Amino acid sequence: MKNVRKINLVYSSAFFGDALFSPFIALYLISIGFSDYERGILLAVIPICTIIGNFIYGKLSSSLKRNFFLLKILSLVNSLVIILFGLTKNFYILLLLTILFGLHNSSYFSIQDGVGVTICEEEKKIYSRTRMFGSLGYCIALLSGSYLVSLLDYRYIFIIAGAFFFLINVIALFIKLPVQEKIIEKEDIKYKDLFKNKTFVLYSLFYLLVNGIWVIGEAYTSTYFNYLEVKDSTYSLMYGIQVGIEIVVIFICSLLIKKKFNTKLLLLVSCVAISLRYLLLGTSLSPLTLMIITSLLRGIGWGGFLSSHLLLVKKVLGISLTTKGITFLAIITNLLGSIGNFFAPYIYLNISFRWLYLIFGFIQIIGTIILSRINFELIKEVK
Amino acid sequence: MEKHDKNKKVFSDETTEFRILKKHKKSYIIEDDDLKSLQDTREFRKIESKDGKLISRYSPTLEKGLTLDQVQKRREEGLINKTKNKYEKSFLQIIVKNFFTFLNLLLFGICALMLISGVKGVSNYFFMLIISSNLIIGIVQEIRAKIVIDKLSLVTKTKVKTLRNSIKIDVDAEDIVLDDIYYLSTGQKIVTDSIVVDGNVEVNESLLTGESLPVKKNVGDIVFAGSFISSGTCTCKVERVGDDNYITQLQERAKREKKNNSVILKSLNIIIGIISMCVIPFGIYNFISKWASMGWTQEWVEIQKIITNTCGSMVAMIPSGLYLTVSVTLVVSVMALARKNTLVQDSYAIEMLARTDVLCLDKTGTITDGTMELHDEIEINKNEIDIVGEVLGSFEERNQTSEAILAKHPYKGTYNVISKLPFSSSRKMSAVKFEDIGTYVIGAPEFVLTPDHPVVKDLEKYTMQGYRVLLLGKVDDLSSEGIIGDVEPLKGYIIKDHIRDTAPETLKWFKENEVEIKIISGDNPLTVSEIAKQAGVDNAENYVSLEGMNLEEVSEAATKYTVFGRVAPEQKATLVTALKKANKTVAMTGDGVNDILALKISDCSIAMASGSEAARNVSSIVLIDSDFANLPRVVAEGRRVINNVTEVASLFLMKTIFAILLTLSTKYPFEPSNLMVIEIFCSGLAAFALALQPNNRKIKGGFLRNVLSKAVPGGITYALGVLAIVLILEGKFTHIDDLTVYKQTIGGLYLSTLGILTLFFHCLPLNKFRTAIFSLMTVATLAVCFTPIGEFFAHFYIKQLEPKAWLLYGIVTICGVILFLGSKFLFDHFIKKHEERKKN
Repeated sequence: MKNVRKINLVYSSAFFGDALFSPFIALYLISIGFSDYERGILLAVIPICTIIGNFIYGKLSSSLKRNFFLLKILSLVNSLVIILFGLTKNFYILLLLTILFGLHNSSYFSIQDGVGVTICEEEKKIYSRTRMFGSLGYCIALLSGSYLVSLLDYRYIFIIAGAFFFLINVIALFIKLPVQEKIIEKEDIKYKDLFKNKTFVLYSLFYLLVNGIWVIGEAYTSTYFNYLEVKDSTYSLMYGIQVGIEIVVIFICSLLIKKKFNTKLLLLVSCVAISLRYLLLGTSLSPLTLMIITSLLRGIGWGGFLSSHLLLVKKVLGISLTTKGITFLAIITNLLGSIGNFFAPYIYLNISFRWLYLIFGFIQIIGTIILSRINFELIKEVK
Repeated sequence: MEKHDKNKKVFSDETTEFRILKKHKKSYIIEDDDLKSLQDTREFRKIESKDGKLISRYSPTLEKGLTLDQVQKRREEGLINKTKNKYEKSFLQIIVKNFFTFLNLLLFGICALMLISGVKGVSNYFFMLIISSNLIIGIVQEIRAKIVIDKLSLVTKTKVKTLRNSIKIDVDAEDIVLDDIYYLSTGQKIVTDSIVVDGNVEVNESLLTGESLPVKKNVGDIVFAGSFISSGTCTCKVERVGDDNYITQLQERAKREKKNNSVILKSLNIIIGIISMCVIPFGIYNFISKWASMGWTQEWVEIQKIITNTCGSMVAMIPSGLYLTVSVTLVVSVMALARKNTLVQDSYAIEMLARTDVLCLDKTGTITDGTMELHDEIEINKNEIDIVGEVLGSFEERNQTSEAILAKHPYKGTYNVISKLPFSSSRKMSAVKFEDIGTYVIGAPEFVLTPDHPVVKDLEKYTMQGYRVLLLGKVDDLSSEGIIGDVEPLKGYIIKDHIRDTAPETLKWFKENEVEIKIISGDNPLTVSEIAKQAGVDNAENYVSLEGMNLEEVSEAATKYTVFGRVAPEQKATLVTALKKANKTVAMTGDGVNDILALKISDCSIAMASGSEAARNVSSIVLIDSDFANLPRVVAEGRRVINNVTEVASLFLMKTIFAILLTLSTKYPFEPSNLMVIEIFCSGLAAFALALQPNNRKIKGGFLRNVLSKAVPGGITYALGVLAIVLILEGKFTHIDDLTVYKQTIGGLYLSTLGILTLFFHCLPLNKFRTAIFSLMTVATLAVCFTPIGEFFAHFYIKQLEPKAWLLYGIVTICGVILFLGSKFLFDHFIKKHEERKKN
């Protein structure tokens, strides 16, 4: 079996495991009787640790061999943390596990993206196809998660989630990295190497304005629809549909990319869809119409974004710097997310949700304009 | 666009045409077929002005040179012979680089957090003193090295006689522009890659190629920047400037090579890396767990206490004193070496030289001093007069060979010279016709006579032994073409390279210290082997020529042979890489540009100050008096640093381990000020003092393992003791929770006692110096703990301690001491066993 196929399995496993754990942390904490304060503190720790974790592991990342090693370590730590999480009710231990989860989980996905892109490049495969397997895993976990919750205790769900992360280590045993990497990789890559690339600096700005804002906005969509009196079950259903559309879009995108379709154009269309979604959330359409249209736009936007974004990062930075670039983008996104989550409630509580989303939409439009100004054609792909 | 005819004899102004390929919208690539056929050094050259426009080439005449307008245009195009100072950092860059390290940012961040939170007490900010000292030492050291290097660079600034607008003017080498016409004469340094357009010269390219024999350059040949004119004069046209020069490109390649770190630095980086990963998450953990244990208090005073405690635990985790100790120890060594004519540019190189297994030397400049001496004279015709001094002295141009003979046969000017035939590379001889006494010829025996002449055969054995041989003969007459008539051989002169007086002793020292010597040279391997043998290099007869070998073959030869001749720059680097792959720590000495790749790759690079600027810039150590006899001193300093730092590093890491363990237990009780006593007396000052004492012991074992094996038992004992005190005082085991307020004092006293015990073991075996250090630190610790000083600085409230608190301190301390001794014994035992097993 080719490495790409094994990486596809790794993606499915990781997203499946994550989808069975992350959304249920808060519910688990409620179930074991933690106060709002304790829950708030524990959940607030995650984004802070995510930034630190991405910084540390981004610093450690370099060659494919090293990144692959990190991938195995991180998945193992994630697996242990997730399993132990369900087995304790002690606040201090849970605090420690939450910190460890924050440090390792997001970093795992950044490193996984780096490894995935590199292996796809090595075997001349389309990355978005691999990413599609991730979304597929996520979708299955989402659909089965609610059913599992009604059937099993959280500790068993977490054991299943942890087992999927452990499975990554098993799959990794069968992945044989090329002895002599075809891709020339720098021995000692530093974060400052990224900033020497002006195109990447510009790209980071675009990423921050579109994806960073997206991260903040998504944290409040369920609250917004709740505010619009949309039922939880309807929202959950629509969320599942969104992910379904996302998978279809990623599949279509992979076909387009295979046929040498312009990746930048793909990303631009996705960004327009993403911006439009937030602009529409700022209008006074009926809740159901709003939900259907924005779900559609979310699926299209996010699917396109996932398919094209990493390919452009790879083009801008060259394969050797891709993982470092991904971790850097994760850091700035999380940083903006943390700041945004601090200020967003002030806006929607004092002004309105609509204005919040309108502002977000306009910021994303600016990001999209920046993207349109980047000339990727002038970049000679680093081999 | 016209394709240039490669077969056309290069250079004339009319043939300098280039095929121009439009590549992008802005830049152009120019293929220079002429240069390609000449030197085969590069396939393409990019000539592009600052604004990306196409550069046209001028064809100046030898009478006029470039016009001033053309020179001005070249300046505007940026085509002047100025290189970016890639190896030099500005003062600001040095400060920024030293300031913005993760450790500094972390500690400054903690300090800012404490200030914002309103944490009071100067002693709580004591850690800033350590970090500031560290920062200042780092900056001062690097600035000092920069100043010395800048001074050395100034010495080498040269001026060139250039023809511009029909006027010959002296121009700074940096102001030469592309297509300039300039003049070179004997002894002059070539400042830019140029083509000879008039005259012919012999060029010493040893700094570029390693070959010490001069190379003949005629019209159309290229001369490279960085080489010297050995003899003759010529006019040149500038072909490449600044960063386009071969020498600059070689330097740029060297820059890209990975920089090697020392074992201590690597270990420190690993320690700091792990601590960096831990410190912030543990800080968060400590803060939240403390806050939770206080029932999510909203009282600012309480939160302030939690912040102080959290900052205290984070500061305790960072072994900043360790960095300072290493820096200070290295600075002391650097200063000591500077007084002995050794400039250390990268202080960790001292350590790397001390760990070196293989020392790679060049023949010229290290074993030999570049001069030659007359070794022997072979009489062939005993009746002839001593004329050799008159023959050689009648020429103005002299080289090392003629100087060696003239030193023993000085020129007196006794006879009138009628005509003379100067030395040339093709003839390999020179001749002088004197009034009354006849015509004499001197040169290579096989050229003066025929190769199969018995005298030549007889002298060949000297050549085989690595000597340079000249034959003096008498002829009938000479013409401008050469000598006339048969040569009567008179005397053979056997000349050898002068071996430095200090070389045999230095080489013996390295041999005694199990450092293998490899001689890597651009010269004939036989010659090098003979000289190495004379200097006392072991296995010097084991030599090989690398000429024509591919890199794989060179790698294979690296460990097999001792002497390597005819080595190209890339091969030097391959040799060093191969030796490193064979798990050797390789030090490399060099002076030429041809050495810089190998210098960069080596674990420790040593340059001679008399060598090229490029070699000096990339090297970690520069021998100011160009005498490699200084190296044993550097090794001794390195041993002192490594041995002492290994000894004292564990003192700092114990604190780190104990802080991490206590934070994890959520029972870390201290403020930063509480650890002042242990930080200053038990580790800080004591470590500094112990690190500076002489220690020339051979280095054993890895740094990290040695340090951790000592730090772990101590760290665990510290943590367990403090944890026991906190738990007892919090009433977990007994009902003495009324003493909770004294947990910092009792814990601090416990740590100080254990700290003194640890210091005692570090001072073993005791000598006068160590006894003094131990006594002084013990007295100081007691004085601070049991006087108001302790109350003021360390916040130890001894007077308020009740008898049961003293009892608790006593019991825990006794248990701690037993645990410490027990764990130390176990660790030592396991390490000993492990080493024995490794040996077997």
